[in-house]
Amino acid sequence: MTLKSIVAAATILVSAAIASEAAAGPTVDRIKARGELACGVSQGSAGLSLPDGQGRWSGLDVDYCRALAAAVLGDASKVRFVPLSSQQRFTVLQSGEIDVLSRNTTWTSGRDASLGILFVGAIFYDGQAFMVPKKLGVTKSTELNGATVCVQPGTVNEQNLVDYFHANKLTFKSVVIESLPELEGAFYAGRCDVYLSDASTLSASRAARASSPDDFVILPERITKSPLSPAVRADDANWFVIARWTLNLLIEAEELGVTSANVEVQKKSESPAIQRLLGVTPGIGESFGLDEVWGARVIAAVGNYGEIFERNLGSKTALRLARGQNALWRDGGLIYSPPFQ
Amino acid sequence: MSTTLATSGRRRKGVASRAIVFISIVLGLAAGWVALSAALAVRGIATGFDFLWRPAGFQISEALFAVTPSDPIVVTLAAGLANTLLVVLVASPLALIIGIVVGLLRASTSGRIVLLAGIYVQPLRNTPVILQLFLWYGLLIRNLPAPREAVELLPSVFLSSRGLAIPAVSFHAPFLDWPALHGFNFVGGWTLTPELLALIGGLALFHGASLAEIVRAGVHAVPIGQGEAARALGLGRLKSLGLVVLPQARRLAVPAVASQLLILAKNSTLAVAIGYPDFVSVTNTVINQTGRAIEGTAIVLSVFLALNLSLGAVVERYNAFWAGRGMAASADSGRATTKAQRFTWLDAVLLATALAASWPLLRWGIVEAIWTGTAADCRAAHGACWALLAEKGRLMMFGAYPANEIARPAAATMIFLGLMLWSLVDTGRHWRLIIAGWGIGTVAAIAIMGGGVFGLRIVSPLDWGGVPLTIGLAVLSFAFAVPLGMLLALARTSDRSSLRHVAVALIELLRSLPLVSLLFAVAVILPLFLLGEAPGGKLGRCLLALALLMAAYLAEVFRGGIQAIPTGELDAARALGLGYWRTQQLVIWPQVFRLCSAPLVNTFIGGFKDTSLVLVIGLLDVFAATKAALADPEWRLFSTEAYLVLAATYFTACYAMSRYAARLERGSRSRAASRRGEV
Repeated sequence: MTLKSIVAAATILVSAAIASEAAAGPTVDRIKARGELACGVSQGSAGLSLPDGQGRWSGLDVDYCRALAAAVLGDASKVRFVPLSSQQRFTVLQSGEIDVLSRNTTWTSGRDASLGILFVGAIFYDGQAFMVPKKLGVTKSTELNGATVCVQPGTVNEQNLVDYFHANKLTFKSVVIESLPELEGAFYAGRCDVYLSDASTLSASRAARASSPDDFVILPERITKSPLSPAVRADDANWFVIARWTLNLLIEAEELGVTSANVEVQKKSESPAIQRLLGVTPGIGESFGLDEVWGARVIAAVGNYGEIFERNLGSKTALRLARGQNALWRDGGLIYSPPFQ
Repeated sequence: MSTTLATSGRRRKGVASRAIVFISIVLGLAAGWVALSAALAVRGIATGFDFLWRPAGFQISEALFAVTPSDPIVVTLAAGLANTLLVVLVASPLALIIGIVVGLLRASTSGRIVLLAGIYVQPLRNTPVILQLFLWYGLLIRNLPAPREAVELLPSVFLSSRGLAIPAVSFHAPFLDWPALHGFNFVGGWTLTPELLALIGGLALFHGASLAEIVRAGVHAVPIGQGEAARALGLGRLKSLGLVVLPQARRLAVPAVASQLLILAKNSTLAVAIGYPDFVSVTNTVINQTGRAIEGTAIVLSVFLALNLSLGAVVERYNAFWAGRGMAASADSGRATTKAQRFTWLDAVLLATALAASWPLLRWGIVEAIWTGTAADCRAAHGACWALLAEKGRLMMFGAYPANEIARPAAATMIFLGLMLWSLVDTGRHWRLIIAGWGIGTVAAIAIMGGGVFGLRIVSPLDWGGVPLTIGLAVLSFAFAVPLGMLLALARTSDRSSLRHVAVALIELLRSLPLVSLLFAVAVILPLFLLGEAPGGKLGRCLLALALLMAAYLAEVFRGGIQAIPTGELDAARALGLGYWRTQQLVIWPQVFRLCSAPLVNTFIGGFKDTSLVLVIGLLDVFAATKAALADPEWRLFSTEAYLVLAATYFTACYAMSRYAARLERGSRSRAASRRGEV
């Protein structure tokens, strides 16, 4: 009890200190003063955030941050990418070192509730799947009783694995390796029977690693929902709105057929929805505390969701991912933006 | 005063000071905790240790006792701790055995044996241990057969990629549990997994190499006359070693051995990289599941503090037991010279064997290697893929530094390399000039990297990476650590007990923390505590963590130097009317630096290798940049090549420095000898 009251007293003191700090300005002002957006990304995850041989970052998560920088600072190149390990990602966001966490992170209730952060919205629907060597003759995941599973820690993977095997009354052994080259090395060397990861990771790995990709099968079952989402701190509602609606902007633009190539032409479009989105009809930009042409600027800089997907994950990349669940809702996928009105 | 009285007095003091250390640490932690929870409560971040009693929800891959996902987190953590203790308890004696055997070989009078032992010791001592673990684990799993093709070494003992399955004793009938292939895996018995094997073997080999050097130094410190006298008394070679030389060497080497074993315990926390569920790896998973990074880090720090303090207590008992029994050997007692040997048929045979043994390696690395081309070309070939370097070399060497400014990190690297070469070739006569050179060179390198001067574009320190970052972190943290270490050593040897206690508390606290956790606390948790952007930036805070740890090690090195100075010299200084600080400046520190030059360089080498751990806080040093390069699925297959390049990079720098340290050691010994008129 006494410890709790000491903590409570200290809390009041600290709140006073923070109140004066918060008056100094919300996140957007800090970003403008700094002249760049601080964006937490992974330490290397193909298609999502990965530095190339020249040290330039690319990927879906990376392009989202570029879009945010274009929205707030007017320049998509003014982003500082901060590579983060999975253990430090939330703490670094909480401390204010980064403005947004855009690092293949699964949106869960527990994280929204107790970490002082809020998820912006699903940017990529992933789901965990099993990959097995074809020669084992396994065709569905219920045949995996007693198998050894290679899995990376630091995500929800391990817990999902337990839940899935438990629900199907199966047993398993796990090999949990943090370092991806070692984890995949272990799987392809036969240390494990099964490689559990996001389906996108599995197909990228299989395409690049196996001497003949057909020797490995990704089992059809998806054992979890894994909606990846950017996150921001919960203490700045305006910043949360900007982050959420910049993501929605990318999706809405694809739905309306606005691309980086045709954005200037589309400004002359008769469609009221396009006019609102591109700021021809004013109102939306101002309601976010941004200028009216922010939408046009973002699309011109990074393109719409479909363009970003194709550039980083699509058929011309090493990952060769189909849109699948990440197609627009009208094409049978889950990608959907609430209306801009 | 009798010896026993003095010893028991010392022991009482030792116990009292440890108690004070412990109490002050606990109080400090409690105060910090209150402040921290308050800061977090304001931000809507939950704190507290109640999560420890929730079900873990994940399964730990191996444990010494049965743990299920529905057990509370605290039980899973205990299983992780048991795993850590298992590794430490098995790897330590192995490392000791390797260290003693190889150390004696290194102290041999035969040049051939010294060379052969050196071939084992040098590569292992001079590369980061985490790289070695990667390489051992890779070798192991790639060469073990699939479970269905398992080799039956003995009846019911199977070796496969799943590990070594052996029969085990069970507590219920039929009391013996036989392993058998059942479906995917061996079921029953007990399995020694490749992960555990690689971890224990890797740590034992690495620390065995370090211990070998300690043992060698211990043997060399025993006056050569003692060994000769033993021979003259008719003792055989082995008997004189066992009865005369080793007991004395042991006493000299014990403190160094103890701190080496502590480092082994801390290095066991690298297990997560190769999939062994040690304590830190399990804690990391808990942090990921619950988001409780601060609580998790606090738990790791407390456990390692307790481990260190108990190991320290054991060593102190041991020292106290031996204190006063026998003479202290002097450090400059002359040593046996290694005989130069002519090239004989034995060497020819050895050389031929070595060549034959390394042929597969040569074929892989050179004859069938791919030097240019794409990842697809490499996959089609059998040899090594050096084309990786053309594609990823720049990322590995310079991190994410802006692509059009790449000449700048290259220039900074050249400056550091130049300074290093200069220091290594110098005979020690121009040390003032060299220190000034390092100062100017470091400032210049920082200016070149950071920009804002000479019309260079400003590049934020957070974009620095690769080799310049690795060297810069090592050099700067050393530069800060030396004065800090001097202050700590002075406080530690002070007459005032309060000063002494504070110093002991700081040194012990810092030395017992795994660097990974210390970095995490300083770089990630501190800003959370300070509400917003903490001073110094991430790089600055990381530097602080590295410097603090190195200062703690240096303080112990310096203390050894201070205590080696005969008290008569202090009396003489006082008689000459020198005050405290003048005595320090003119009498003590010049000698301490001369005595400690070799351990100073060795501590620097340790710090240099430790920088490879900054990847946990997201800095792209040369090690983290290599990992980022391997995140590209196209090239991930060629991790062995990347690790070998990395190992060669570290080895070049560390080996050159350790040769330098050896030369300093010899130099100071011969200078000391000539001062006393011995030849």
